[in-house]
Amino acid sequence: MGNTGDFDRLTHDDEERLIARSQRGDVEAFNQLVLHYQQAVYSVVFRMLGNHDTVADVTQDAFLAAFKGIRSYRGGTSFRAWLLRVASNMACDQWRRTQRRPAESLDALIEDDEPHAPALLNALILTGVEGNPEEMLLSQELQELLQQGLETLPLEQRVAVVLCDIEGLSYEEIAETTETTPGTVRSRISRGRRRMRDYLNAHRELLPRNYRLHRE
Amino acid sequence: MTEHNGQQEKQHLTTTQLSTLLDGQLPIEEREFSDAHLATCEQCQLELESLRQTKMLLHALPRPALPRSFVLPISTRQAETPATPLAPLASITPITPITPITTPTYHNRNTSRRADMRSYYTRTALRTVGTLAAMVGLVLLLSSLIPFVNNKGGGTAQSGGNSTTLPATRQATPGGPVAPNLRGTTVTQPQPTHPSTSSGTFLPPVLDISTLVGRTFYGILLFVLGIIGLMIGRRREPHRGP
Repeated sequence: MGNTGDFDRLTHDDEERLIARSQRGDVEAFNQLVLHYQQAVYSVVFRMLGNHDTVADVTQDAFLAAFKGIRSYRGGTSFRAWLLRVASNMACDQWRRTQRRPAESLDALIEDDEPHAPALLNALILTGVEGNPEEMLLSQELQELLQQGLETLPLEQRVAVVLCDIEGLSYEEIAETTETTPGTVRSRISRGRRRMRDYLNAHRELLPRNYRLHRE
Repeated sequence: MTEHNGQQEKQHLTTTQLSTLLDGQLPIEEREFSDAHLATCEQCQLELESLRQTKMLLHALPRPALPRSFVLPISTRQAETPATPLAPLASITPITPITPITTPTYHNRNTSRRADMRSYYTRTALRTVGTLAAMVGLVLLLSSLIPFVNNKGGGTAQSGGNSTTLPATRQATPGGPVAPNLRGTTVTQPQPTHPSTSSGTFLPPVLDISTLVGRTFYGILLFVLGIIGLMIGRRREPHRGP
């Protein structure tokens, strides 16, 4: 986190100027943008690919590709969304190359429009901090479970869930990033969340006792 | 009014509606219906709560620590021309001439990438060869154990014949370890003290693969070399998770 440091307060005008200079080939200006966005980009790639030794390489390649293609960025839209689009596309390409779980593509074809799932996830959250996500502390075990759950999602749902629930992007920004409509984004997020919820419910026996459902 | 409420209770909210409601993105008309339904439907309340908690858990995931900075080298240059002729130029600087590219940077980048790929292929080849060597070594080691197993368990003539088939075919000269009898079957002979090659030069038993000692030696050698190859060619993991 410390790497972003003073660059957290990059104003919109500053960003516009840096983008304009980057489009003229100024690497130093682009590196200011890298310092500002590298945490977000790395985080998205990490959540897309998991704890994998290619995450840093994909992130670096994403910044390089973004610099080389920055002339195609048009002002007036979110630069963050554009940058994350480059990164998430490269992460998806990398994931497809590795084909770690080819059976998932079949799962993605299953349409899932039942209105309800059976169980709740009440006790996956530490007691005493419920309702305050900023103060929630997740155990390493739970973090790993969540990451594994993310990796079971079809790519399109994974991108949408990561961008929405982890990075906090709006539906419009996600639609820009994924080059789809807000309606599609809404559908992907809901299906992704539902899958995540079902995945966590299916693995709650692996969680520490204080994470278990307390309505058993 | 009662009928209307009854309809609302029967028709539960979909996951998409609940998820969108959670993000505050539900259109106002749908929102009114959802609020009215949620006020009376415990099932939908539970569903909404489970989605809320899933979202909260994901939101609470910590950001992974950066393994390094991703700033680009100062020598990095942009592409000389856009990838496609229709790619839009930046609206901010439509007239500014594009900085010409210097090809050495590309060469450096490509050379580095090629070197990485070479390294990757070398490691993969090393792993493959190492695995094969270790497997062959293991087979040789196991095959050297067969006579012991046979002796211990009163081995059959058939299995004894199998264990000496190779020497019998390779070394039909007098003095070899195996000689065919009149029925055409093979009979195990005592281990030779000085096995010889066809050219007449003597090999120490440890180097002759037809002997028990030789197989054991080659088995151990290949196995160790295979393991070393696997160790050298194993995948590198530059960083770990948070």
